[in-house]
Amino acid sequence: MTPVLEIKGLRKEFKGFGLKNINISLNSGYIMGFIGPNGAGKSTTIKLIMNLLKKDEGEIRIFGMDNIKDEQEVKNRIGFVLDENYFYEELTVEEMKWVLAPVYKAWDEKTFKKYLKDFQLPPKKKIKELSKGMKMKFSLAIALSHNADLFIMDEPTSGLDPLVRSELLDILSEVIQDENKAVFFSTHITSDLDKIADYITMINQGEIILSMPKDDILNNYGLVKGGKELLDRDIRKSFVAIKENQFGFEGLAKDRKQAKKMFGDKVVIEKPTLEDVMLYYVRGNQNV
Amino acid sequence: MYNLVIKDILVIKKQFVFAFAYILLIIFAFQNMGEAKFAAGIVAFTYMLVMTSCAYEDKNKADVMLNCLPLKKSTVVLAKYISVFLYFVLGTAAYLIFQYIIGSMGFSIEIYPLTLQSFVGGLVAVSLLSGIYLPVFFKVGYMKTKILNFILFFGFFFGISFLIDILKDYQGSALLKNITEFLQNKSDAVIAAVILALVFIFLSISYYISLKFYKNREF
Repeated sequence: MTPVLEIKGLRKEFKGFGLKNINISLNSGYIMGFIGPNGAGKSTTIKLIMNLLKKDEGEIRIFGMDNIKDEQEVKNRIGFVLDENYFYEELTVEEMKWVLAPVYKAWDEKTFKKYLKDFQLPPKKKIKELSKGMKMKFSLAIALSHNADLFIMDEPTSGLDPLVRSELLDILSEVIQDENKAVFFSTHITSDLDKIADYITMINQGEIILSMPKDDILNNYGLVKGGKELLDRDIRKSFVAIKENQFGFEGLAKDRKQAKKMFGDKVVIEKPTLEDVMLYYVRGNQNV
Repeated sequence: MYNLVIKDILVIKKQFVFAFAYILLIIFAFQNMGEAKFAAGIVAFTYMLVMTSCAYEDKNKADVMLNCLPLKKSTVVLAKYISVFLYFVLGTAAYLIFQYIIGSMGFSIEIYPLTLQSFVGGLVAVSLLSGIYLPVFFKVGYMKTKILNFILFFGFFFGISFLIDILKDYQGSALLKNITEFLQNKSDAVIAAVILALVFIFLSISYYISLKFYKNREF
């Protein structure tokens, strides 16, 4: 099966920052959460996928096609939601739709009208008069109304209240019921992904540090808490990172079962959240 | 493509009121300007609208959105050039309509009818200004073109009288004589056609430079 999105050996250099050898693969029927702290390279990766930035090296294939050579064909099948509003604020919702609809080969007016109604978007209102949540919903309505097969979302939930965020996540879960669709969703709010993601790809300082099924992370990784006397050089190496204070340590182990075998009842082992995993990977070892 | 042109009009629809008012003003004011009135009016009208539409592109960071759509970069660039000429046509139509209305109302002002000469003059001026401005806009965006914008606009008005002075100095030169002789033997229509052909070539070059710049730009 050809992946919907496949990135191989992607590189892009900036002054003081660079994406180094990014590899990502996403099949249809799945939601991939793309997480990392601010400035990790999430938006840069998405901009490279959308050909808003020029890559230095590597290959980006979407629906098996090259993202630059077959740019129009590929973009016809992508629904995008960006981190902020890039629509013409002076236009009304309806006017903006007039501009966008003819651009897509498979524009579906009925679906668009349905979403306008569901999202309670007033067609005659100017985009600048919409709240941040409403702007995001408008963006989503456009993304969902042209029979896209891949949805690319760059921090769509940032700055939204929990209610709108939850609504967005529900819609994405609904979209993915169709097994021919896939979602690539970047965020730094990891709790968004607890609910909906199938795969997690984590990026930090321009490098992919982890890319695997979410359930594998949550089922295998373990947050180990115990006394400092248990740590020696070899044991330290078996952790992703360790946080120490005067009372003891807390560390992220890749294999919960192995940690249990190693420490027995001397430690407490908990299931980590995605946020724990991200923090340990990003911060590294810490002495408090 | 047409939707991008309409988009420009929708975005700057408020500016049209000022632009039409300006055309009206120019018909009443500057009585001693003669036939250059139309050129002065249409250049300001078109330039005002093009600048505003470019400013809104920047303000809304619209290039990010436009480049996420299944649109060719050439379509985005060409739509801006077409917009310029649509404004030119609208401005010309407004000039003719206002002129007719004012004429029939019997105001005691001198009304200069639109001649082929002033029409071509206006078209050349608008083409030159836009043809220089747009490639720079497509390379760096509106904010960084503000100084160029100022230089171009005022340079245009002062530049023309400067150019005429220079031409006067060289009145006797062989090259100018040859050109004058060539033009004297031709009818107005032929001269207009030659000028329009030159304008078209200039704009085509400008368009290709704009497209090259826009294709290399990152958003």
